[in-house]
Formats: sequence, structure tokens, C-alpha cells
Amino acid sequence: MNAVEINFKNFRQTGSVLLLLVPSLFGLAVFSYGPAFEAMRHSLYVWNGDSIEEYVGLENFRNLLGDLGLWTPLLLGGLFSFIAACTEGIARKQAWRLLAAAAYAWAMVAIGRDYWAAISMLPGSTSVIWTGGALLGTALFCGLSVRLANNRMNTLLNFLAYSLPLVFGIYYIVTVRSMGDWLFWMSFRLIIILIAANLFTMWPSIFTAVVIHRLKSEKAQYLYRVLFVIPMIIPQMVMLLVWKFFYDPNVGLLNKFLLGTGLDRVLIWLDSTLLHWDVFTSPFRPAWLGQPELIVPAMVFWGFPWVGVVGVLIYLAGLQNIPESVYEASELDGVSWWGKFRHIELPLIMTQVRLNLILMVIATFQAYGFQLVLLGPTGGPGNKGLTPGLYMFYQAFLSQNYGYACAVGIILFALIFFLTMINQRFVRVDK
Amino acid sequence: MNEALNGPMNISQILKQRLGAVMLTVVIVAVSINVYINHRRVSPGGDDGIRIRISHWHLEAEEGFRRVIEGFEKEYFKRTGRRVTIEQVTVPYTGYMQFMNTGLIGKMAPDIIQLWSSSDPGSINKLVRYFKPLGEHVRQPNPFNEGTPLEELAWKNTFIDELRGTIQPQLQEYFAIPLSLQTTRVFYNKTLFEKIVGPVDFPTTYQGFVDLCQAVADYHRKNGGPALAPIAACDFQEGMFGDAYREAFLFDVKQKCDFNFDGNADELETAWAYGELWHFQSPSFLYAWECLGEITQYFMPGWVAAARDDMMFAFVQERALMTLTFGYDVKMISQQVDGRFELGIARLALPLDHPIYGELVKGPRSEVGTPGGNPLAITRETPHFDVCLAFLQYATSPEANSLFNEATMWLPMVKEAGISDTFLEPFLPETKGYMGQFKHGGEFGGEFSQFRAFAKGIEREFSSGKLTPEEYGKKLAEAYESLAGRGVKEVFDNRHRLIQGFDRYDAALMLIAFAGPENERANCRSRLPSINTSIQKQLFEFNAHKKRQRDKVEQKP
Repeated sequence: MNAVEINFKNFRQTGSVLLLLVPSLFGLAVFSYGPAFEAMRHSLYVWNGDSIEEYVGLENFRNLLGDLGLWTPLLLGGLFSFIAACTEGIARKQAWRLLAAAAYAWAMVAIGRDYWAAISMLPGSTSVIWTGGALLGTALFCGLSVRLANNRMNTLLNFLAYSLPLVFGIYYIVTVRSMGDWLFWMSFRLIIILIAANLFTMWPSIFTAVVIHRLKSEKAQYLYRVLFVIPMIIPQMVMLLVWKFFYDPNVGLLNKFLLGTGLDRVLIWLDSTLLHWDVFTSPFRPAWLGQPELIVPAMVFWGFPWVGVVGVLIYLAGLQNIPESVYEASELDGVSWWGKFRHIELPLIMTQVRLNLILMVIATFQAYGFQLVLLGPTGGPGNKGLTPGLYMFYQAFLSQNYGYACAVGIILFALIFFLTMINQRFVRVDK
Repeated sequence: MNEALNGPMNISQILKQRLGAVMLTVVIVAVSINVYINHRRVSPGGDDGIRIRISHWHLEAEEGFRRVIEGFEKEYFKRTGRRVTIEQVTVPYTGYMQFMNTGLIGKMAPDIIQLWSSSDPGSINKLVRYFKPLGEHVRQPNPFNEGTPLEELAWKNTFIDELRGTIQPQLQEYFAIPLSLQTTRVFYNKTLFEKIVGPVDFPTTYQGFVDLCQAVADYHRKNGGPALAPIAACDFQEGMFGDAYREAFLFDVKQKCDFNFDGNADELETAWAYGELWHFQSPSFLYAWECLGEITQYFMPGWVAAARDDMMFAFVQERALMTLTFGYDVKMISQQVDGRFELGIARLALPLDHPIYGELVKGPRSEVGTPGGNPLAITRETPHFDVCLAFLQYATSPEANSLFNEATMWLPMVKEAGISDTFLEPFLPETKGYMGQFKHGGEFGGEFSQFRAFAKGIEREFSSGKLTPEEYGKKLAEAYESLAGRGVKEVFDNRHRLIQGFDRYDAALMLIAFAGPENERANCRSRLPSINTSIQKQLFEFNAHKKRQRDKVEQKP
């Protein structure tokens, strides 16, 4: 029987198969792409979710980010550098790098213009340092990357050469010029800390998956897998409330545990001698979600011992693909338990690690439910628990600035997209 | 082909092979039937007569509403011979706003809705777009008042505040009818109070209140035992104490900033006067925060992260001596306490005779202008406006209002309704004192969205004891100075957009005023000038003031 290719050319023969796609495509268009395009459109509007809908162009973005005249070349530079890094051919690579360099030069001119305009009013030294730093960084790394061509460091140097001006420029806009929306910028502080923490908190899941995988008894493996799946059926809200109870200063388990183990005295001593936060005092009843200094630690600690159910299952799936023969060979070679993990298991589940990293970064950027339930819509004392997602919620549902909230969403989308691309490009998987 | 090879399939084989399609069909049919039944249920004029729905978020008022609904259904049938069925839709507080908004936007909202606030200027657009104005009806007598001393009075004059707290000031229009009066009171555990300080009266001075809090803290320190805090609190209580002290100290400043003499100093007026007539580091603000700081240190530990339920449980489970909340909680608290201790009610003492603070506090706080509670509005989508109106009229007749408030243990809003229980006497409003609010845009419901979010965070930082009043004022001033400009623009933009809505409203009024029914012309004519001189006037005055300021700056050498 001759195989018929399913496409529109063979519609007569394969039309019914193509038509089967219509319901799911329709659903996808209506429920996924439709809202996404609507969000993009409304980011250019002042929209209160109902009757007020007025086109304002890039005003929402200008209010959020500040000077788009500086952002545009910086982001273009970042984009061109990224494309250059991803491109294979040398000539094309060079062309993209030239474009990136031109964009950064344009940004430098904007910063310089800014400096000269403000020179009579500002102390000036800060902007000079950062402008100079950016220029110096670009020159240094560009030079090194050319000089050390074909070196193993080449990729890293190129990356630094074309990303440093971006970092310097963004720092300049955010801090020196203090432009855009304070709270929006402030909300990234917690996100950066949480993403950094993710790099550590992902390991317990990996270790747990490896331990389950190495169990000799299949029944035991099955039992543990089931035990890990069961918590998935508990609604997220219940988990949040359990953690809220856990952190309760009066009846919460955390304070009781610290008091019971005598760790309270250690914390009080640390506070009085080193931290000077004035939150761990006697009688020991710290409000983990009520003190500005404790909010970030409480957020990082949330989910302890950080064995994520989905993560464990993803890693397990990867581990189960490792052929038994590889283990047998390693046994013959006398590889230790750690060696097996370091040289066999970890490299072979890097695809899953990368996937999980992407999922964690996306989830961290989008997170707001936990903060909303535990700290309220403005992120608690000093807005320490504010995340971009929570700020988006606040603008949309409490201030009825839906258009502005859509603009926050679009910026988040761009950031997540960019970080995912970087992850895809630079977290290499060698099979 | 299978059929040709194996012969015709029987039903079970067909079902087996087409199980997916069969299940899909069954689900689609079931859902369609369900949608049809629901549609019939909420559709106007079913076979069993008129059916209307009423939604509110006071779950504890379910019985009160039920009593009034039953009475109305009988009374309406007696008067008109038409059968009416009213269905209550009670939605918890936390999800009510979303329920209301989605219902209104989706045109599936109930016929009568309890509003968040009856006269909130922030929701003008919503009021005009989704609710029927009731102005012409409240000026007529209430037909259900026949045979009572209120028979001759216009409906609005039968309310205790004559609906002054319910009128929408910019539109000079009424959109909602309140059923009860809600005042803020201190609820305390009288049994525990007497155990701690003896058989004395609850303190009526600010210093006495602070001393009581300290006595509770000392008592617990001395006797140990289960956790006991002086005040059960969450974010809600902080806001209530904060409002009370802020208004007390800022009364003078409010008077100075009230340029349009509407009794309040709003965001635009205060932005205009900032730096000249007031400042965050002025003694009025610093003292107000000092008072708040003195009180919040006696709040239960972890109150910043506590929810309203946590606060309530702490009080009824005797983990705190007292709390400050609205009168509408009295029934729920009484039920929860269930005779385990005697419940006391007291007014919150302000620092009137305090040696230092007293100089800046001009007097007690009047509760006369307190807007009525449970404001009920009729949606535009209802096909039974006359029935909904009749229900509101019936619910605010003395007899029905007494019935409702007796069941809910709330204060009636209607004259002649009377208080059913002497227990409610402490909730009667304070009639003497100052009125009006000072708004800088960063408080709860403030219109400067970015400043409001920042101010909330910094307020929590202050309340958790991390900042002194001076530091708090400094931080707030820094934020205000950089964000208020954007906030003013935000308010201007929003109001400009609203004016477009007003123009339509004005046009309709003008049409009625000059070409409408004879009996409505005078009413519409009288309302036109007040509308036209409200927001527009503020905008023009603000622009003129800014121009004058600019001119002054330009004249400087």
C-alpha cells in the first residue's frame, strides 16, 4: 500500500484526517492564542477591563521601563548578540556581531548624551563610572575574543563582550536614572533570589530520583513513585495554607521546632551579634511572614526539603532510559556510587535537568499565588514579597489597569523567552 | 470493509468501536440540558411566575434576607395578584468582587446586587453603566409605608441619614438603597477584662486604652499559659485604627485642603497643597503614626500575615482580649462565643485629652455621615425593574427593616424601625464631632495605584516595628514626591475618560430636562448644574492653580 503524505495538496484523499485537527486547532486558537494576542493588543491600550479602552501606543511600556530610547538599542544589541551566538557560519556570525556592536554603540551614545545633558546638575561620577565601565567592558572583551579566536574560551568571551553592555546599560537605566516603575523593578529582586535558590533547591529532587532509581526491588520503586505522586492530587491552595500554618508565629510548627531543638538560642545569638535584624528576640516568636527581613528567607525555605514531585518524575523518566549495560560496565570498571552519579547518571539526564530548569524559571517568573495568599497583593512589609506576577495581578484586579498589567505580562513573556533561549543554547547536552 | 468480511455489527460492537463518540455525544447532550435548565431558571418569567435573584456577601444575613423575602412575596401577591419568587445568591466576601464584575460584564448578574460601597466615586463608570438610577423614585413616598408615620415622607427622608451617605456626589444621583447602619466598635471579652483589671468600666480615654493593653501584656507575662494578646488583629484592624487616628489628627489639615468645600480633601486637592499646607513629616502625621505604633505593638504576633478569619478565631478562642471591627460581625461573634464569656462593646477612644496628642485632635469623630450598610442596587439588565424596586421599598419599610435587622442583629437604617435589642445600643452612631477624610492617594482605595502599592508595603514595614514615625514619614515623602505626579496624571486621565461617560449621561439628562415627561423635567434641570460643576471644575481649577504656580516660578529672578 502506497503511503499518502498528509497535506493540503492531497486534500481529497487526506482531507478527513486534516479536518480532525480542526477542533483542537479551534480550541487552541480560542483559548490559548486568542487571549495571548488580546494581551499583546491591550498592552498598547489604557483598558479598565470593560468600557474604557483607549489606544496609547507604547505609553504603558514607557511607564514601566522608563526611557525606551535607551532600552531599544540595548535590547536590539542583546538580541543580535544572541543570534550571533546561535548562528553557525563565521561570516554570518561576524555580521550579527557587527550589528550588535552598532546597537551597543548607539546605546553608548544615548548614555553619553544623557551624561552631558545632566553634567551640570548631577554629581556625575556614577554615570561616568558606568558609561566608562560599559565601554571598557565592550572593548576589553571584544579585543580578547578576537585575540583568543578558536580558543575554548571564545564562546564565553563573546558572550561577555556582547552581554556586558546590556547588563551595564540596564543597571544604568534602573539605578542611576531611576526611571520607569519602581515597584516593577523592585519585584525582580525576589525573582532573582528565587531563581538563584532554584539552582540549589533542584538537587534534592535529582538525588531522590537517583535513589529511587537505584532501588533493587521493583515493588519498592513502584511504592516510592506512588508515594511521590499522591501529593500531586492535593490542591495547591491547601499546600499554601499548610505552609501558612507552618510559618504561624504562635502555633506554627517552624517556631515550635526551633524552640524544641534549641535553635532559637542560636538564631537569637546570631541576630544580636551578626545580623542585627532585631527579629529573633526572647520570647522567641518571630513572624516569618510579618518581618521584612524574614520574608525572603521564608520564600526560599518554602517547599523544604525541595523534593518536587514533577521534578522527581521527570528525572526518573530520564534515569529509566539509561541502559542496564552501562551500569554493568561501570561495575566491571569499579566505579563508585558517586562516580556513577557524576559520570553516568547526571550527564545522561541533562536533557531533563534543562527542561526542569526552564520550567522552574518560568514558574518562578509567573509565581504570584503563594505571595498573594501569604503576604497580600502588595507583597507584605516593604514590598519584599512582590513579584512581577503579583504586581501584574495588583495592577489588573485591584487597580483596574488591565492594559498596564498586559504590558507587564508582555515584558515577562519576552524575558522568559529570552532566558529559555539562553538556557537552550548554553546548557549543552552531550549524549 | 469489516462489515463485508464479518457481517453486520450488533449494537454492543458498534458501542465498543464508537465508545469515544458515544461518550462525547452523551456529555454534549447532558451539558446542553444543564445549560437549558439553568437558562430557564434565571430567565425572566418562567411558568411559575416572576423570578428574581438577589446577591450579597453577608452570609450571616441569610436569615434576615429570607424573612424579608418571604414577607415581600406574600405582600406583593396580596397587592398585585402576581407571584414572585426571589432567590438569594450568597457569595463569600473574598470572591464577591470577581463574582460581581464578571456577572455585570457578562450580563448574567442577578437582578439586585449588594454594592461594595453605595457612593464610591471610583465606580461612577460602573454605576452609570450597570445600574438603574433611583433618584426619581427616592423622591416619591414609599408605598409600603402606608399606615405608618412615614407615609407622607419622600422615600429618602424615611432613612436615618436621609440617604446623605448614599448619594453619588459627582452625579447627584442615587443608585443604591441601604438596609442597615454599620459602625465600628471595640469588641472585648468582658469576663477576661474583669479578671485582669477588676470590675471597672472599659477605658474611655486613649491613655486608658493603652494602659489596658499593657495590663493584658503584663498579665500574660506574669501568669504564662496559652498565648494571650491584647488585640486580635489583621491588616483590616490596622487600617481601622490607622483611619481613626489619621482622621483625628488630620482634621485641621483636611479643612485647609478642602478647596471645593465638599467636606473631604481628595487626592487632587492634597497633591495641590503638598509642601505648602501639609507634609508627611508634620506633627499631625507623626503623632497619628505614633499612636498607631503604640497600638500595633499590642496586636497579636504575626498579625501582618493573618487573615480576617485568623483574627476572629483569636478573639473568640480567647487568645486576645479585644478586637476592633464593624457592627455586622456582632451576630457571628455572639454565636461563636456561645456563652463562654460575656461580650462587651465599647467605642474606640481617641487621644482627645492626651497631654501631647490632645493639642492636635479637635474633637470626637462623627458617624452621622457613615454610608448605610448593605447597599442594594438594581441592575440594568433586569426585566423586572418594578418588582425589584418594590422589593427595596418593602425591605425599607419600618416593619420589614425591623424584621431584617432583628435577624441580623444590625442597626436598622429606617426611621421608626427601632432597635430590637438593647445590646445594639452601643452601636448607635456618634452624632457629635468632625467629619470628612483626608486622602493622599496611597491609602486603602486611593487612586494613585503605584504610590498606593508602595505606601502599603512601607506601612507594613512601619507597623512591624522596623521604622520610627520619622523614618516612615521620610520614606513616604520620598515616594510621594516621585510618584504623586504620575498619580495625578492617572487620576486626571481616568476622570477625563469618565467625563466622556458623563457627557452621555448629561446629554440624556438634558434631553429629559427639556423634552422629557413633565413630572421629571424639574428634577433633571436641578441636577444638571451640580454635575457640570463637579469634576470638570476640579480639573479646570487644578490646571489654573498649576499655571499660577508656573508663572510664579518663571517670575523668580
